[in-house]
Amino acid sequence: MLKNVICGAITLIVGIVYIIEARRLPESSLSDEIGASGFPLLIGWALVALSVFLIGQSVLFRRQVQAEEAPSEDSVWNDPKFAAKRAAGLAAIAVAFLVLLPMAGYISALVVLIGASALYLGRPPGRDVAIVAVGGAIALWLLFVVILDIPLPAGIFEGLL
Amino acid sequence: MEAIQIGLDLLTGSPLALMAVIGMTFGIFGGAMPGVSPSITMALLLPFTYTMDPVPALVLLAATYVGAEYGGSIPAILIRTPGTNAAAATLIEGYEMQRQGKGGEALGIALVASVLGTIAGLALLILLTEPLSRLALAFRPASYFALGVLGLSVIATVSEGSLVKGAIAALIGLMIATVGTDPVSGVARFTYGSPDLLSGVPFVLVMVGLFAVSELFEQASQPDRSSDKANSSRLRLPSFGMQKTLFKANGIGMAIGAFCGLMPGAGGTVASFMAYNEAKRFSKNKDQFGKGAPEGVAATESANNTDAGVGLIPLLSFGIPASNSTAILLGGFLIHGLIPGPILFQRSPDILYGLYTGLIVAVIALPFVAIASLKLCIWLVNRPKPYLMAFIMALVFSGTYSINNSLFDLSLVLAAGILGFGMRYFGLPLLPTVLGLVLGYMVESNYRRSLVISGGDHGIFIEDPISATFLALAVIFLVGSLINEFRQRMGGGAGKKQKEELS
Repeated sequence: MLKNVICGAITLIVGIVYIIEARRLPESSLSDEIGASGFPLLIGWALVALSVFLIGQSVLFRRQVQAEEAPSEDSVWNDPKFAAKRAAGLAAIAVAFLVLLPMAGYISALVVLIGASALYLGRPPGRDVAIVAVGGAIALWLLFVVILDIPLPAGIFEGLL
Repeated sequence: MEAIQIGLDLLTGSPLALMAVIGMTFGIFGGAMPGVSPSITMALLLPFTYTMDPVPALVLLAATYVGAEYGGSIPAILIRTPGTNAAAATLIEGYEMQRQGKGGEALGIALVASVLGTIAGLALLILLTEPLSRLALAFRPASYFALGVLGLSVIATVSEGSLVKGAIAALIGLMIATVGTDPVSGVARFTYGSPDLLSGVPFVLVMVGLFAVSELFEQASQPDRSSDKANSSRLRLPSFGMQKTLFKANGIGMAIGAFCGLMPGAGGTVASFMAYNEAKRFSKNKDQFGKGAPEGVAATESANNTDAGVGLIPLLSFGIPASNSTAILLGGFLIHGLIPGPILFQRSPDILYGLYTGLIVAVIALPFVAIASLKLCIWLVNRPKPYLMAFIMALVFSGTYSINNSLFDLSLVLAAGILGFGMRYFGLPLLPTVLGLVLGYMVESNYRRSLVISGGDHGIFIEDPISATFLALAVIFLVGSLINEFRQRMGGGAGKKQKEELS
């Protein structure tokens, strides 16, 4: 039940903020009767109404909602904090890829992405991971740059490729 | 005749056949990997289709969809792990056959059933799409608005989780769709000065993030359960005598697959389980079910493959996708500035005839590709999951970056992945969000166009008979679903009260 109430609260806040921002949209002389803010306001108010409904429904029918919400035995949502931590770690690796890409180039950044992801997801450190990371990066570079002819930054390998 | 001529011209003049084979192959591999659904497999290819011509691009995506539906049966039979949700029903009898040393036969039965199901689905697609789309020629702006509302209502109703959550998910998609430039006045909305957002949030990036990246995030905390390794199996096609005994089961599967394919939200999973039940009901060998009944494999595979083909009808006739996979295919159309529906039939019938031709090539290629790729499929299924996930992540980000070489695009995919992860945690279904995103522009622009025509009078949505019908159906779906949910919840509460009174 608590999960639904939190969900409802978050979407309620999002709806209210969205309505406030929609009201601030400038009007234009080219606009129709509805205006640029008309449809967003409709969506915003619908979201607010449904969020309140979700919270109310979750409180009134808490036992049934709790039973419906209960995840299956092997679901990751049995330990949501752990699931969120693991997801955050993978997201951090993706952010590192974004940061490295313009500096080190496509191939190097990809080696780091594949290698770090494989290690993070449970492969033991070793030669295998290095081979898969380098091999995978080269395979993707061949696919995009050579076969599909899509230019991607070579970065530190600029002179070589 | 014209359609056949156009199809043959495209076959010889474009890489259509090659894309059909590549799509089919990629789809089989994607479908064979547990955790990678047909929609994720297609989403991985979306960024690649930007630089392609429309017909080969659409054939690539559609063939991937068809291939993935078959591919899911491979791990279901060999290691009791369905590659796709729809293959969960195939697992019941298929894995039993594998345990009895008949894994090769099970794979063969699944392959033949998949081919027959795909042919049936394709035949219905070709026969029904154009006549149905002619209905849409009578549509006015009010009708298109109401159709969008009906599509969103139906999907919100039938998606996983409660109706309220489905509706909230749809609204989230509509909200994202309002980012960009107002369709009438050109005013910038919710862009906060970012030039990258002026043309709106690219739905392809949101789709890839919501489906593929959020799935990777969720799987990051799942232990690698693939301790069962798939042994190398040789695919054995069923004999003619065996195939005759499976005729009824295949027929049941095709009929149910066709029915479910036309129902938005029903999908291959529902079709395959229904087909399993009905095949068992009408079988002369009921006692074999649960112990490795070939009919169980045939019915489920023919159902989910027929469903795949027929599921394209609502998309091609009306422009409304009824599943995650057809939503991705709609993305493929929109990337090339094409809107599926009756206008496309009128202005660019070659696009659709090319798609049909490509799918016919894909069906012909399916048995050959399936047999040739089985060893590689098994090898892939046996790879450690961390390597597969790392490679998929690399493919997602590479594909995204290849569109515009833009870090903003990568950030958007990541943000959509985080949103998708949060939505999964709260039990908010993803399909209504994607639909809200792709239909948002159509719904808003037709809403406002209708009001311009009527001078601001909302009565236009009731006066237009098609619009009134669609809106009435939407209300019926929503109210009916709400009453049903309420009854179930009250029933649960009343039952408990009765128990307390009795004790």
